[in-house]
Amino acid sequence: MPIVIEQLNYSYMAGTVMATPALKDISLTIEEGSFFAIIGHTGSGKSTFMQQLNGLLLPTSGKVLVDGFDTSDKQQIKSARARVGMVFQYPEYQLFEDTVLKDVAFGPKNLGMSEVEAEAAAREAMTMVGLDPERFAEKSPFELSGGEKRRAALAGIIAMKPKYLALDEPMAGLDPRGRRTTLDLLEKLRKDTGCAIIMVSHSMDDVARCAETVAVLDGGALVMTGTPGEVFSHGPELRAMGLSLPQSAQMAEELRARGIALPEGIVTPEALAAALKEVRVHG
Amino acid sequence: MGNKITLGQFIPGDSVVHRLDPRTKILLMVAFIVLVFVVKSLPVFLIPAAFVIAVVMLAKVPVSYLKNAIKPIRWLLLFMFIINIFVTPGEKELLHFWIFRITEESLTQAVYITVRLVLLVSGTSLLTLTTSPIRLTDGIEKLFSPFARFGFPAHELAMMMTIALRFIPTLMEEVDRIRKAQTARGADFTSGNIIERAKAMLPILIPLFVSAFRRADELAMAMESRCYRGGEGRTRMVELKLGKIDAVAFVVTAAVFASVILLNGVLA
Repeated sequence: MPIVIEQLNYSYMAGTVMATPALKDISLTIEEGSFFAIIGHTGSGKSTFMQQLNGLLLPTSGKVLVDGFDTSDKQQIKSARARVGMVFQYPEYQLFEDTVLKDVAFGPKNLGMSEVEAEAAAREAMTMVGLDPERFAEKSPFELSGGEKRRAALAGIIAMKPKYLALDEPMAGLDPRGRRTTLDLLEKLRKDTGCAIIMVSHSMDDVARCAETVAVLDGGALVMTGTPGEVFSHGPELRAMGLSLPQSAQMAEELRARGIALPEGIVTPEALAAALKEVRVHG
Repeated sequence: MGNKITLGQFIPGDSVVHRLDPRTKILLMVAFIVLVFVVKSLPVFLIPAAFVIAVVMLAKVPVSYLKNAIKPIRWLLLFMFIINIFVTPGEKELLHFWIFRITEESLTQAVYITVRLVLLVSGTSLLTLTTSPIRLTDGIEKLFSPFARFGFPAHELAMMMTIALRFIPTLMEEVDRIRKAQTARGADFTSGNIIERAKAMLPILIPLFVSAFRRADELAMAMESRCYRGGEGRTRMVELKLGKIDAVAFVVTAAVFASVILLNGVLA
């Protein structure tokens, strides 16, 4: 079953004179096992939206159903929350235990796993994010480098074996190599465990490369959804919202403007290269 | 969370009271505290009460803010009243049953204490309601600067207060963020007995301390790289200057003080 969001409205400080609407009438469905990306300008409501997915914020009106579990229902919220792993921006600041292993096992233990099960899940998750349990398990999380801390925090969520993994700008502040390994890791996680990835990102290239579906938020409203090819063919609208296109799409646009007949929906370097080759052969 | 705590509870405004020099206001508040304890009979309490009401009206402070200031101490007031009414010894018995005995003296004493506390709290909160935290620390620094000669760290204290005030909202935000992150990891802060709940706070407190120290370190570095070297030889953007209204305020308060002492003598 998917995550179904029905006419979700959310206001900060609802019911007071200071009420500010942050999300307006959003309806969408996030399929099991999909790679779902959310883009939007700063302040467009992306982070607020993400927190709705596991009930950290509750709808002012409308519904969020995770596999049918309603986050607004006190009895169901725990089941909903256990299904959606949430990785915040700069998750490395949530580490607190005295060893990495204990920290990674914190989530699984809270879900009711036994000590042994939780440790096994923690070791598995650490291996998955590239932190060798042999080397890192007994280290203090505060001794790690920035990138390692980020991975340890990520492992802490992965160890909970979520069905949906929601990440708020997981690559913020990482170098190009860190970005690539993180993205590869998410892809691998999705392939190996069938876990859906829901990711907020400012990098249009990353979105174009990985996402199956892209949702565009602007001023708290959902203005577009579709495949990267569909969404990124609306260049002028996206630019008006303060967003940009992936580099390949920009390039294709410029080439089209100079009279080279390229098809629509080019968003990755590979697609652009293939299309250019096609043009050379036939044109 | 977060929204419930208004720090310093300052209400911006442009009244005479707002424009008073913070030093004047601090000194006058101290005078007011003394005044409240100088009062020796019930009718004379009308003078400091009238003083508070006059300041409230001048500063255009909504009365609800004063009520909010007194609300947290209402149980303390009740407690003090009850203790005083039963414990103070006295001659003229008004009521007596079993071991409880109320005398005229104890009743007056209880009323005194209550009125004094209410006046103290409303008077002192008028200071914080009409003075921004920054001006308040500026005033404190200036007031204590003469003692710097004897090694009193006036500037350092004021700087620490300013930084502390500056970081409270930041740290509140941080708490909120960490709390959410740990909730998402299945942490439960709302059930269990006191010890379990205290333990459940660790996943919030440790990251909070770590980040507070990190911020402190970064701030120290930023201050140093802008050549901060303490208060010596430092000039200010806004110089505090005592003006005509400060003189008026001092005179009025002195008059109030004198009339209280006079009436104390008359009614004694």
